[in-house]
Amino acid sequence: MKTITIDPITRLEGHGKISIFLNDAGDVENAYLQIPELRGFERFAQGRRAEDMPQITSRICGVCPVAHHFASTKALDAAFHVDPPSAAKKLRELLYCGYIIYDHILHFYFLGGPDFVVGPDAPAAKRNILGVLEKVGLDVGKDVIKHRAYGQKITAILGGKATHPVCGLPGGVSKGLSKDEVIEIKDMIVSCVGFAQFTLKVFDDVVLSNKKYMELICSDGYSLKTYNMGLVDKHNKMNFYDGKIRVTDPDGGEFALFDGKEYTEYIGEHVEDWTYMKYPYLKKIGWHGLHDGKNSGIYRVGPLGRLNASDGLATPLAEKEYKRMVETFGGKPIHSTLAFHWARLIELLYATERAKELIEDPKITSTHIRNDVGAPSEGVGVVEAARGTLIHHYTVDSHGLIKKANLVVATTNNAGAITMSVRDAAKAVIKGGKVDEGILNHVEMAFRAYDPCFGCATHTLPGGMPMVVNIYDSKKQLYRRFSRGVDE
Amino acid sequence: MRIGVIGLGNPLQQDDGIGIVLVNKLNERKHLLPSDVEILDGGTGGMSLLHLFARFDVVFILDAVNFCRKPAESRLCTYDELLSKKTPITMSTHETDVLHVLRLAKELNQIPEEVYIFGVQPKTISPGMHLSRELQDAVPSLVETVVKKIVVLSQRKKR
Repeated sequence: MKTITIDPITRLEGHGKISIFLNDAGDVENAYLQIPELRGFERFAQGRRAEDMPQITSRICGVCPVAHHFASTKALDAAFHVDPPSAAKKLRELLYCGYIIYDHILHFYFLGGPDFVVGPDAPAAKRNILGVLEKVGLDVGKDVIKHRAYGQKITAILGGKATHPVCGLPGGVSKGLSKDEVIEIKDMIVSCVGFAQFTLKVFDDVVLSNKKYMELICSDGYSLKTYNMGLVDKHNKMNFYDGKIRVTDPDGGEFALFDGKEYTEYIGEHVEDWTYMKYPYLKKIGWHGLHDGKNSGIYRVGPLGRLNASDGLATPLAEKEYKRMVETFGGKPIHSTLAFHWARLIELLYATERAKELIEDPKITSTHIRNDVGAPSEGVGVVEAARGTLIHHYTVDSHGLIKKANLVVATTNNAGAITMSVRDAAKAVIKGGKVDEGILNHVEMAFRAYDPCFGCATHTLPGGMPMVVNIYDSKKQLYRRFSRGVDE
Repeated sequence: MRIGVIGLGNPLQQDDGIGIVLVNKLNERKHLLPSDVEILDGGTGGMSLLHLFARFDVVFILDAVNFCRKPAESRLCTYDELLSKKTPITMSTHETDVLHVLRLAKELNQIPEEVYIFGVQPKTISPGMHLSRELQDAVPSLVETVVKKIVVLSQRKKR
């Protein structure tokens, strides 16, 4: 029996909590991560008009409103038994690329990248976008802001609103593109392709050519041999907006390939008594605790999960980078958690290239952007949010009202893996009870690689997300406490 | 002179969405506002707000702000006043976001000339799409107040 209560403190503060337990010797016995979520949403959705769901769900989170908007819209396509016209699908995917562009830029320059660009041992006050700008120069900084704004602007033009899009409807989109808008978007995208290439060059110069960083990236403390999951097209190439869900095993072989609507056959959700967070796992393998390996049903989603679960990328420049990454790590799958950063930048390049293909497609200005809907029933919509696979599942009654809703969000998919990564990193760096800010950051880097999102706009800026770390001694007494970005 | 009136907040969290409710009402009364005013729904945009802010000379933010008053009481302050911490103010669910974004905008030299925050004291912040009775009742007068302040601001700027 599971009771869901809504805890106002965690919901409002929205910060993550890591609890680390030490043994008598002061080494790490275990570590747990708790991520607050907007809970009870499923009940909240009941009785609402189905066509309002894309707007409502885009408000769940200020970080990935576009992902929720389209997972929801696609669930409605399925529930209303309608296949959108090809131009509508292209417009949705183009908007989606804009979102990936601004979100991945945000992560590299503002959230996760500072660990490398400024350095993992640099003082916390420097490990942020301002520290990055100091290092790479103000002109680059202007470029960062400019291209992030481009991604944002593309989503605003297509989505009809600045932050939370309103264009998605069952069967299509409500707004097409004018010829002037095509020219405006194209100019921005061409510039974004160059900027994505530049960013990979920065990663090359700062991270890949630094022996110390590469040792850190390849070290055991940051390695996890799990299954991987992501959407793929019919050639098994990674896709953000559409396709089948593919799962590969820790050796890289295909484990499963299925339609989104079959997700309940493949994904189970394990509940632990110490947290409200659900731990998804592969049903056919089963839940065997927080372990990696082939016999554990835990999988990873997000940039590295996607690149491991696919056979590469469908655009030339990104595919080239992808091959280089695989070669650098000596083949697939790549188990290094910190490789998420590289994978994310390769996806940034893919998103820009794919957006260019879409905007250059003469059919993108078609005015046939919506098909008629049928009688509603049940539907599942799946997209790849910036941080991983996102599933919306609705049952709609004959009046078009939501009877049942279930959401499996990206950070929840990664819950088991993030918890293990945090534990392993803590074990690797905390010895003999010695803990300080620098050590804490090495633990934090393990979860930051996943770019976890805490439900509702809780990415604080600059430099990371609100976080509390409690360290307990062998008698379970609080030994040290660190917090960051949390008003206490 | 470009003036951006930007509502912030999450309408799925009852009174936290007051900024968005006000923006929707202002859109219905656009004819009362000067032509240099643009009304935007910023939602819980986080970093995206940086790019929105950069488009304007003056930004007028509408948001739920906890300044320990009676529900629906409002208060207008400038960015500098807010930062001075002389006033015990916390922004609601997206508390850290907008202030951090503003600080960052300042560091990056992307901050509008003037930033105003029109805060409304919330009563209830928990999942739900309706405002509390107190705030719901106050919406018409809050809209009046905001319209007057924006008109005055626009006239002052034109001088």
